[in-house]
Amino acid sequence: MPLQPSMKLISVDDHLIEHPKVWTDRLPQKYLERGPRIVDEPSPSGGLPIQVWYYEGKRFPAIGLNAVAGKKPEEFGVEPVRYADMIPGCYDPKARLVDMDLDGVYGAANFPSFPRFAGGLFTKESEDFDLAFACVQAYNDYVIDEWCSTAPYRFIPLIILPLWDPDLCVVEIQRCAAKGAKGITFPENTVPLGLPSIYTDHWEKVFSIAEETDMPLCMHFGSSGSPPTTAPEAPYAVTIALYGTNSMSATAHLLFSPVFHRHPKLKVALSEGGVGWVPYLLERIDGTWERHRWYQNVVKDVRPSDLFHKHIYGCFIDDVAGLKARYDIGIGNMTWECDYPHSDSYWPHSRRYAEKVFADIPDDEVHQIVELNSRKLFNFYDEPVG
Amino acid sequence: MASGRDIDASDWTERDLLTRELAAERLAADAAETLAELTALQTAAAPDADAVAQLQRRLNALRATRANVEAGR
Repeated sequence: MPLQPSMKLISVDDHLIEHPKVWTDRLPQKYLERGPRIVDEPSPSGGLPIQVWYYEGKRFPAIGLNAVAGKKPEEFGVEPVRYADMIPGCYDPKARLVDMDLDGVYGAANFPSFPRFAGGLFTKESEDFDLAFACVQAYNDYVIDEWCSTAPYRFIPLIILPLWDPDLCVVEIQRCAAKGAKGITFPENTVPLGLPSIYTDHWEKVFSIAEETDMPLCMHFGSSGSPPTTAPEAPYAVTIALYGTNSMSATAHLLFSPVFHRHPKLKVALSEGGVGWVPYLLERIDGTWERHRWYQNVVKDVRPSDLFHKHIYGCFIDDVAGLKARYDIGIGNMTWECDYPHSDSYWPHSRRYAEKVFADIPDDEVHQIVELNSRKLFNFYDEPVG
Repeated sequence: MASGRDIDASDWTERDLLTRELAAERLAADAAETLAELTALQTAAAPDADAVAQLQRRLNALRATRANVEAGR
């Protein structure tokens, strides 16, 4: 049994649902009306009221969705979900720990939901950026002081940034690092959010402070706000099948950029993109670099795949191709994810499922993938004994 | 040839959550599987006491969690 009982599963990609008072409990009085708040509205179908977020007078429907369980696939549908419909582990950290125990999962890094996976909502949807910054700080205080403090050696605090202002990002990273933050959510690509690219100097201070505080940039699939689509008429199945291509784009984007050359200690974690594509893409990127670097604005003396192996981590739930290619990917660059509480997670038998996934992998490699690499990535270690 | 249209919110996989109803179904299925394993172990010629105790503990936890999940409806 390669997944030994002593190995602690650490998921680098789970999610939390912010409870209704995350912002109303923390924002100054003057912002309460315009800050994020949950409003009950009559249901169009005549059932229980639906619950929606409002922010700066804008309505953001659906705190989550429920793929209607028990239906035949041909009758499949979705409906908005209320807090009372969710299992409490979605929004209550104590209940989450119980669910993790049942699932055989020890530790987890959780991405935000309402602010979007890298907090982009406060950049894209705000008009008052003083309010927006207060909202970012309130979220980070909630994650560190309320969610993760429930079990500091099991929850990995991931923060969001005021992406519209790099100087404010620096201030917020420093503030949160002092409070115990371990990772920084960051868009897989900043350009679709209307922000300067990583090829400019715009993000230099942000990347420097991430290095200095030893926190990885965690780039979740979809955090750029631009999922892969092929045609307006194409079913969303195309997008689902192509999720990993956003991580591929982010990888090529990073490896040809000046980022890792200027920031030799920066770490990047790609979330929910799988890893099976890595060997092909690195071969392709290296080949491009070999032939075409001489006449382009590309660093000439460092092979991109070397940068990948030094700086970038991928993750997966089940990726047969990736596990077969693990030596080409780099065992040290692979981490495990669970994706709780999204319904495509294997809860409550993630550990049992992982035993099957890792059945043919040597013990020491499994240990690296499910636990040790994540601990190194996030500088996240158990409570000292004694 | 494609038939029909995408459902509204066809990006549900990014936002679909474990509801109490879905969780109860999964817990029931897991409990049934665990009970079958436990029964097989207990009826073996030389039952492994540690393995039996571990499975019994998991079964109890699954049932307790299911009861909590259903009680919250």
